[in-house]
Amino acid sequence: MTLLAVRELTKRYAGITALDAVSLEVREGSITGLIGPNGSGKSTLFDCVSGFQQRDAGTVSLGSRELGGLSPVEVTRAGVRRTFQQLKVFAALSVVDNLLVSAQAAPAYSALAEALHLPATRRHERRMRERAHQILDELRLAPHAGALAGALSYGQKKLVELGMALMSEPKILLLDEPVAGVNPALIAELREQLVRMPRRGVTLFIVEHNLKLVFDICDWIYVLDRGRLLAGGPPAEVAKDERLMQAYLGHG
Amino acid sequence: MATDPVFLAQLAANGLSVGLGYALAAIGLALIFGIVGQVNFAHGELYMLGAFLLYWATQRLGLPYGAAGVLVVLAMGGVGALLAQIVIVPNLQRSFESVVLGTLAVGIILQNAVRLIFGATPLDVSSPFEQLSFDLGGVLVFGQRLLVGAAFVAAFAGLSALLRYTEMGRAMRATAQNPDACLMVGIDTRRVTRWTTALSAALIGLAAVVICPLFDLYPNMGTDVVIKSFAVVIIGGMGNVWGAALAGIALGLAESYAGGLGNATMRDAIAFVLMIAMLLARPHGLLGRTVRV
Amino acid sequence: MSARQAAGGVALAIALTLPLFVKSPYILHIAIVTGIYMVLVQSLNIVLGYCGLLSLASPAFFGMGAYVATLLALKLGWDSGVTLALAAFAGIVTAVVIGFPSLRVSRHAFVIVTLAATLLLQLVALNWEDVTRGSLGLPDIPAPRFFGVAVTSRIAWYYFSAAAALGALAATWLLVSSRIGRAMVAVRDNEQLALACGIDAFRTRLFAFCFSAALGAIAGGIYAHFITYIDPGVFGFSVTETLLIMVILGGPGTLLGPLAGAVIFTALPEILRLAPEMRSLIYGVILLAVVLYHPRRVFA
Repeated sequence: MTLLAVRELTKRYAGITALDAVSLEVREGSITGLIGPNGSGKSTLFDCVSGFQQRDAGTVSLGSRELGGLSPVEVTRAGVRRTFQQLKVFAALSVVDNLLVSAQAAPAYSALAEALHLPATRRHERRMRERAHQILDELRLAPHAGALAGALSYGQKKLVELGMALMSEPKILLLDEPVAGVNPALIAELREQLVRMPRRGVTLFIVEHNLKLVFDICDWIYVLDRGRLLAGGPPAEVAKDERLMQAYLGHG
Repeated sequence: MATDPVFLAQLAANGLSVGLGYALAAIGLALIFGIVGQVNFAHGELYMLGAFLLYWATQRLGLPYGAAGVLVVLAMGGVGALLAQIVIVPNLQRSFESVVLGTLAVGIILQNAVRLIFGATPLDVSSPFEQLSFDLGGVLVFGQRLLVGAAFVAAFAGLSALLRYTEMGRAMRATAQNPDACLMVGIDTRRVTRWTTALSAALIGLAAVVICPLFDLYPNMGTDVVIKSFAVVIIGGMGNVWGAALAGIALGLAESYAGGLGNATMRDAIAFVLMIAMLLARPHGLLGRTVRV
Repeated sequence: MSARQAAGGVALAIALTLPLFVKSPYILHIAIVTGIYMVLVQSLNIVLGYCGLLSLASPAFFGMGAYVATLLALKLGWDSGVTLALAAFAGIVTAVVIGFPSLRVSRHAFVIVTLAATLLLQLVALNWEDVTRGSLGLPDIPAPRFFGVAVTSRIAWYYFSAAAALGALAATWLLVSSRIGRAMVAVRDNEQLALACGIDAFRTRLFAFCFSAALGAIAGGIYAHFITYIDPGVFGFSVTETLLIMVILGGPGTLLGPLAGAVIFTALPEILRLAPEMRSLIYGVILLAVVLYHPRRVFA
């Protein structure tokens, strides 16, 4: 069943067509990959899907819900969560707080109720905290729970980023280069976390340059080149597709 | 009496002349925001500084109004370059609030320094245009006000020419459109920032020279200028020079009619009301945010 | 117990027992004013320290609270619990009028509108003579009354002011230790990421702004009762200068830092006996120095 459907998505900047009538689908429960050379429009696609940029034409829908025109906050609350190409965590908050803040997509109580620390809000907070600690345990970040996220190493921050995404329990998670700049040991650890996501009910849509990882874990791979969709299919088929070679080698 | 055509025409004439003053005072602010992306909170105090420099040049040094005016405008250009060098350029990469706080601090320093040097007693600058007045079919127009209008037209024309035909002007427009791309084509944004701030300060200095003979001089006088200039820039479109011109005139007219047909409180409040209304209805102002000439 | 907690405990003990060993009316007067500033300082701290927004609206809320509380006390003679609550409400309404249009647009618009609003309110206070008596001001403001008991003696005023300061501290603590407080810091730290987490940055900032306005207005109301006379000068910019120094130098984004700033910068000008222009000039130089040499301090 299709979870995320992108039809004829087009985005133009001053004279440049970043996305040219791109159509693709992400099946529920799958790990879908999006690859292509630099500047092919992958991050722009993510931006348009997640509301950080407005598309010029085409539609984006999550299930039956149209996402076009929604603000980033509304898109997140609809169940779409994304990470950024440049690693982002809240440096001024502790690791635990990073996760807790991540789960605030659907505010459970009014701002005033929260500010007054009403008992219901305190119970909710306790439950959230327990879940956060569970996730930190899984990611082996528990010893750093109270540390400021800004003080952690790059690899640890990547794990925090993942923890934040897990905490928010999205329907679909858009990961923008989840293993960029990460050492091989950590890549293996992240890989383990990623393949478990569909079982937790989270569909993955991954942009990556690490082709080894992509061909390893993805059920379906799309190839983007200069704003146009070149190919889409199971890894075995895409690997044999000549256009893929052309796209990557043609740009040097 | 409220429907007397001469009265209404007088209100229009007053509004136009005040509005041209607002426009002249605001284009410098619009320039800095459009090109450098910063808001100069010392804008009002720069106006005050220009006025007091004029006072000092005419009353203490005894220079004639015209010569003093030219010197003040040039001096203010220098002050602007200095302000850019000390406060704005070092903070270009940081959050914009740093520049706001820095220019705010400069404003505080300037105002209190002037207060300590000149005292708080209102002063007066005299100009040869003050005594002139013209009667146009029952509508009274003062010579000094005409000078303000002339100064605005000259400044606007000069600015347009500079932006269109000089190398620095082109660099300024490029920086306004795409500051990141400028680095790639070799435009030094620091140099552009200095020139823009200097130009902005010279413009507000010109505004001070032609407007201040109409009113008393006191250290706090920049406050009124700042609120009107901000209102004009927001209404006209932050960074838009044409927008500032139109919005200034529109505000002058609105205030004149609000004050003439309503009362003083309405006149004072209308700038703020229009500002809020514009933010609610059309956040990018009347003409949007680009440095268009 | 850490060194800081011990120091805090000692400070609290001194604060609670001060009138027992300090009899000088002058020093008690300074202490009472400090207490009022401790409320005001949390108001700016919430917006500047925790949200990272430069707000120039402190005098707007302070003055609004002062005038509303004063007018209610003079014209209707209500209990101060009610008048201060209504003053807080007036502050919140002001915050919505200022904040709703500007926060939606940009942070540039926000700073500008906060300044413009403060200047406008001063003009209105000057010109709306029917209500505010313009520059003549409103004298003979009665002492605050809670359930019929008036706060008149200097010692009573001291404890009232201290209670207000502690109340403001408690309220601020409630806010910043809640989910909203966490959201405020998140939005300040990385707005894009906060949006991607589903946090409504606009609503969060507006809520914090309104909360801060309520505190500022209450400070204004208390101040009016204490000084017994107010005029449009309560909307003056010098309040902003002083608060900026107190918060930025005291420690923005911390609970106790600005309180220390309030104590130091209420006492110091008194000790040095500076002329107002000189004091403002020095504050301007300090702020400029902070921006040039310690810019990271400006926003926590």
